[in-house]
Amino acid sequence: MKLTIGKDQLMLGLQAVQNVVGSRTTMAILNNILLNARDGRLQVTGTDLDISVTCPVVAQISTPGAITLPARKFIGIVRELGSPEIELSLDEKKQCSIRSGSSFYKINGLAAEDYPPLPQFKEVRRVVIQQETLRAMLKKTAFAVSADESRFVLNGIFFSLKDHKATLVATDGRRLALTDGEAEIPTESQGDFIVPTKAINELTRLLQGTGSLELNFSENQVAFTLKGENGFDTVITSKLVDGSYPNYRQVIPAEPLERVAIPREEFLAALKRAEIMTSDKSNSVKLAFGRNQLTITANTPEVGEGQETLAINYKGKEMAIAFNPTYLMDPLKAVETEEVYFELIDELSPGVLKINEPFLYVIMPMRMS
Amino acid sequence: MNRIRLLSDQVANQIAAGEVIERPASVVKELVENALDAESTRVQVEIGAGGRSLIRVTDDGWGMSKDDALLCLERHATSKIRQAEDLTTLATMGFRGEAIPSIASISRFSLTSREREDASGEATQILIQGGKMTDVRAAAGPPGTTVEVRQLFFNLPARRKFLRSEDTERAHIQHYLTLAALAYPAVSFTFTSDQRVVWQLPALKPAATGEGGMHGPLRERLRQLHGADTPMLEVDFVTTFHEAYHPGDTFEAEDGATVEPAKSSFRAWGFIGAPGVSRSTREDQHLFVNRRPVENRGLNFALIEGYHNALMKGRYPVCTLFLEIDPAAVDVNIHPAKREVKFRDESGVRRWVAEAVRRTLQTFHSPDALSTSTDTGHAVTPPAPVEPLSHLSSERQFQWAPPSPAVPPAGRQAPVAPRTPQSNEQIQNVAVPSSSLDASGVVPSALGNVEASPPGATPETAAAPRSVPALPPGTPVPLLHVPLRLVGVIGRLYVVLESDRGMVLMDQHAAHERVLYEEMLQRMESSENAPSQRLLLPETVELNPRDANFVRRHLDTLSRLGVGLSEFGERTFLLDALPPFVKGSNPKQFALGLIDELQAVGAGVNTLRLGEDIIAKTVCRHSVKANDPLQGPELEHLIARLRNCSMPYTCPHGRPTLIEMSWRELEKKFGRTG
Repeated sequence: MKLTIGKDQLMLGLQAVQNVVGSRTTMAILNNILLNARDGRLQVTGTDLDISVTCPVVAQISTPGAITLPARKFIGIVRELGSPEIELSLDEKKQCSIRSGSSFYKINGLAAEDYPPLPQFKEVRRVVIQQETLRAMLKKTAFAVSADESRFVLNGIFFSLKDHKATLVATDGRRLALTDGEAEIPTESQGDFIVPTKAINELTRLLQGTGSLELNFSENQVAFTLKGENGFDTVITSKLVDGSYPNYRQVIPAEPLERVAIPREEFLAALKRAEIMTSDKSNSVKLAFGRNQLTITANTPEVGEGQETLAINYKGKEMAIAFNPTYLMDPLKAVETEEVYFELIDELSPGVLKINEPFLYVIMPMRMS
Repeated sequence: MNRIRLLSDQVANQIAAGEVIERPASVVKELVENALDAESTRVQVEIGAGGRSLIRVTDDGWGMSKDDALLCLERHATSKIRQAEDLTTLATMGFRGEAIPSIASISRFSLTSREREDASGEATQILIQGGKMTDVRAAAGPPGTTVEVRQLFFNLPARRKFLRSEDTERAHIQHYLTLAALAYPAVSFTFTSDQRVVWQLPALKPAATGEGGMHGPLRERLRQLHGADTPMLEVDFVTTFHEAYHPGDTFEAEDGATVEPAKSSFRAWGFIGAPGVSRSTREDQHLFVNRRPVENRGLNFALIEGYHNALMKGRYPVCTLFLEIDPAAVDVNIHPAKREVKFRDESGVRRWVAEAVRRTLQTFHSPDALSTSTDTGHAVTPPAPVEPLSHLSSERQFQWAPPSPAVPPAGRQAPVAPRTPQSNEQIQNVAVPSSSLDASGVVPSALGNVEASPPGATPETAAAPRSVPALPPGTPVPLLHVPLRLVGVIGRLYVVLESDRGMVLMDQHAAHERVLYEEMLQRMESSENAPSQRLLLPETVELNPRDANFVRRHLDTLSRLGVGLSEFGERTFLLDALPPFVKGSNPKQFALGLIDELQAVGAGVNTLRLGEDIIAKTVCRHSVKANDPLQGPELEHLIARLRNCSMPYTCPHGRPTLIEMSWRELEKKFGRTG
């Protein structure tokens, strides 16, 4: 293997994979990244056996070939190199020489053949969706994913693909976020699956504002192919969370009693202030809906209390309901509309937050005393 | 052909012996119990070869006439009960009339007895070999009974093979005798093994009349048996309670019988280990119910519950605790060797034992806090008079209790403890020892006007019943009641303090943890009902029938704690709300753990119990760490706040906050004393 590559290009590839490469794992080769040079491109691959990322970058290949190199060392050196051009070459002892300007390094590598092969998809179901659409959808749901490892089915976003619509759901058992997006879904490619949080994070990081994305999934794997120019596609593959997602439809209240529009930014700012007056032990704020007025109060005996008043257009019955302020603020931060609509039934029933876009957020109240 | 036939008496006795007589120690137990039931004042136990070759128990009790002596060898012949009803008012150790014939059937047995009142001076001696009477004759003997058991199990080779080594068997015998000796300090015990006197315990008369006087002899007995190293606290706790009786409580209900809620009186007395004293086994937990040594899992739990976080996980309390309870409320007839007992109101007894321990521990620290709960001034005894600390009178000195020897710092004191006025700087560092934790948790202002010896204090202290005059010096004095002088900090963690008794080390992290922990608990206590976060996806929890029954009865309690459970079928419950602090954990697991805990503790659980773990964790995060350098005033303030805690001697995880090293210990280490 021998090639010349621009530092920027190489860094682009390395940054795409560096998160999935482990640092302390029992298999030494998993600390390495796979470099595969052929057809005018250098393909950079990293994996932790659950998630793999492959990113091709432009390079001038003199001799094709492949090698794996310890990720931390290699990335460290490349990042610090001073010259914009880098020359990589491989000798028989699996040592990779890095030559750039006045710098010269040799890193010991491991055979590319030993690198875990990327998952192969048999019976492939395929869906195409715009990257921009998916990115927006992830943003509206990812915050609600559970971090609690004991309920592993909730440790990911639920994708449901059917009827020209991709639906994404995330919940941690106390609140639930749901959003829809248009997508081309052939009948034979309908289905649903749970994508683990780590893959979601990588996906969010790599998604571009433009271009389309091809989604392939099988029984236990999913691949997101981010279409780039000239076939330079970045591919993220991940195992799926094994298990059945709870029936989220049943927790969405059917018939709200009251519906009220609240200016989003004002609401968020008021909650941010009120939240300061809560503590670990008493983390609730009370929303009191009165005639054309919303009063937010936070009261923690050992800290103090706070009150915020918002003018709203409300003619319904008076109601006071308590929520965890974090659960209220999360969706307000994730959406960008001017107004949100809050739908309520009574003080012990779930509240629903909606916007003028396909988005729905269910939040369970807290019972006070 | 008839297949069924009656067994001969001898076989029946051997079978009974199989249940009652397990090993030589069981023989000793039965014989000593008989001696104690006969109101002996002196019991001599002699064994040979770990009890295999010889067990001889000699007492000076009532003794038996010739007819009685012959009759006692019959099965179910006893002087202790007459009819079944007597079982409910049982005051003796034995009652079945099985032990003597059983023992006689499996050994070479001789019984020599002379009635105490018998004027003739003639004793009866009966010899039995493996259940067959070989001789009955008149003999000379002192009043009382001597039973000699030789070659135990000689006719039961199978049983003999199960015996352990001589040492093990001797240890079992000695263990039983320890318990008997603790339960009867007024009886003198002599224990001889292979012609070597192991113990000779003189009879100890109660130091004073009244029940409170029993502690003295017991303490002396304990000292004789175990030495006086372990600091122990006196317990005395009396209560009457209405038994809570749940007909649905399947595992406690007697079948069919309806038991009216009865009013029982309950007394717990004895000694428990001071905070920080624990063992890794239950070995030093001696529990007695109506003076009978017993094992009862429920009581073990109650002890741990009483210590709660004064005990590290995996450690067990040390105690010698006597429970006195209406005999009708205890069933001892459930174990052949009567090792286990059953309480009619198990949960009630557990609750009160835990309460007794808790109060003792709290009283130990702040004697006034609960003075109304116990009767005469126990739990804390006056220390030996203390010389004023002239060498400590630097301005750094701060005190928790009056240093003046005239006023013992323990016992009942006026809410504001008296104090000898000293220099002004000194007063600055004096924290008023707030006698009780007021609910507000206000730390008394350090600069508060400290009045010198309020006149009310001394008379009251003097008036407090001190019938037990200056108990032996084994009684610990709360460390925080003696004046402490700050010397410095070592390793940026251990605070070195000097007291009149020696050196005191304080773990600044543990101490701060305890302070924060109690402050946080108090704040939480002020709010009544725990808030609860509703769950989006309710979960079903399936329980075994016993747990389900328990949960059904305690749905209200659970809801008060912020746990929303509702019935969802016979053994299934729907969990739809949790306290908000339960963040990450699996709701189901949390609920199951909670149910276990509730069952262990009883329904009277404090709402805060749930949060304690979490509080302890939070507190641990926020408290002063090992490497944080603290300045003098900060440390003094910390000690002052520690003084205000209700359980200052351990951190919320049960690790000690303070370690004391007495002058004696130091002198020993430096070879100044033997």
